[in-house]
Amino acid sequence: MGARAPEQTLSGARPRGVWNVNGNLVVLGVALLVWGLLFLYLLRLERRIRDLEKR
Amino acid sequence: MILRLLLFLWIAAAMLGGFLWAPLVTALGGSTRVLYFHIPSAWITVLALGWSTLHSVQYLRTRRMAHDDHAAAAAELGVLFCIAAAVSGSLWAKAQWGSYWNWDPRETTIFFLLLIYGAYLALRSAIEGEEKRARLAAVYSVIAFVTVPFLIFVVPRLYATLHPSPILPQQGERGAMDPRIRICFLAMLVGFTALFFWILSLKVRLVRSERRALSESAAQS
Amino acid sequence: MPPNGSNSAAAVWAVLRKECRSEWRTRYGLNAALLFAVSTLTSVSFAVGRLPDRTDLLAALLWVVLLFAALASLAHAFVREVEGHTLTLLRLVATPTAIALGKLLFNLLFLAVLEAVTVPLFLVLMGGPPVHWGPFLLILGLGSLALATTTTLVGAVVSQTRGRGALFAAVSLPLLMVVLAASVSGLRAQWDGNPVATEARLLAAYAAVVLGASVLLYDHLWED
Repeated sequence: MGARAPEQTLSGARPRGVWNVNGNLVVLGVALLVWGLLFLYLLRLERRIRDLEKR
Repeated sequence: MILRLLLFLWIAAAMLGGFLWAPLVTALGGSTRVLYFHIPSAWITVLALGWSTLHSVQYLRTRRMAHDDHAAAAAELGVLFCIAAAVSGSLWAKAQWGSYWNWDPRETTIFFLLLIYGAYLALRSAIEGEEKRARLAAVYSVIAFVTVPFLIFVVPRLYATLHPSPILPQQGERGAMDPRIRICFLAMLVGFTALFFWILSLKVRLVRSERRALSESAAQS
Repeated sequence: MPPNGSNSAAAVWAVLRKECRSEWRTRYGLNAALLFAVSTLTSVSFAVGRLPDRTDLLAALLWVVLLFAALASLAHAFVREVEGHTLTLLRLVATPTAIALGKLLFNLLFLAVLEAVTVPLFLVLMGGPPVHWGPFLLILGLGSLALATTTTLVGAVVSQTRGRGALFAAVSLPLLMVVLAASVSGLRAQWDGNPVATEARLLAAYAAVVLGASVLLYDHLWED
């Protein structure tokens, strides 16, 4: 658990930036994003169905 | 609405917990976290199949269209979760054993389930007439169901004797699970199940509304 | 749907005789199936040559040839009925179950004829170790039984849809995986000199289960 520091390159320099973030967090972020989008889509679908049913 | 939000938070929390709080399984290493998605997907696939067949039987007994709606909707959802389980399993297999697909018992089972679902849906799409489609699809669903035990329990074993694999894959450490992993895993299982039934109810309601709209416009014309 | 028509063995026998007679009149289905099987076999033989010691491949290839020929032709029994609009007439005489059992027996006979031609040809062309005839025929027979019970039922379902040949194959295949796996394993075991009891039991159980389910389901198949 938690971030593990990526291996140092031979020259000792470590590239910085968002691509350095632990892969774990990236997957988590994507998963949460996908889930959030799916959830919103389902909510909208439900609203549409409710309208269809009311008519 | 509260329930929906609760579901959202529940699954989100399970994901966060699984990625940030629960430890890794030593034997699986970094790919541990796939189990939070892969196994619940496989579980939902089986649940969907069972639900679909149950309603097929009920349709044949009562001839109420509601049962066919459930059977069809569950089958469609089942395909989605089956693909999810197969893909996530395949990625996991690649990470663990170096090959995407090895026809080991679990992989074989998932593949066959996918074929059966696919055949069921293909059959449905080839039949016109609501009642006929419901009836024939239900018959097929029952046949498929009686062969599934053979596919799941017997065929993989036959394959294993035909092709003894030099790499004996461990079927994932389900036994000794760290309690934190187990909590997140069970939470995902529950969350997925709730999600399945929610989407299922939406699909059934949609089909019903469309049918009603169709019959109303037919009555008017 | 009140049962009309007879349910007795006589009805089944009558359906079987009718099937045999109509098939014999044109021999279309049988010709097509034989031609298909022989063509597939010759293609395989041409491409692969003799396989004196590859029992795994031999078993698999034989069953693939048989399976393809069966899938190409077994749906025919029901389709002919639907296209000829003779089904209603038939149902005056016999219950759905009797009709289906008659057709099942016909399909079995059909498969037997198909195999009587294909199997010897296969053995001659492909070579292979000597056959232990007892286990060989047992596996072949039980496999064919399992194949026939499944395809008869699926054929009855698919004959009422818009799709035909391809749909029939696609819908049957997942169910037939069991038959394929067990039959191939059994034939291979027989060639290797191993016992075939497991596979034989499996095929018999499978055929029994499908037959049992079919008997319960056939009444639901034709309703108008």
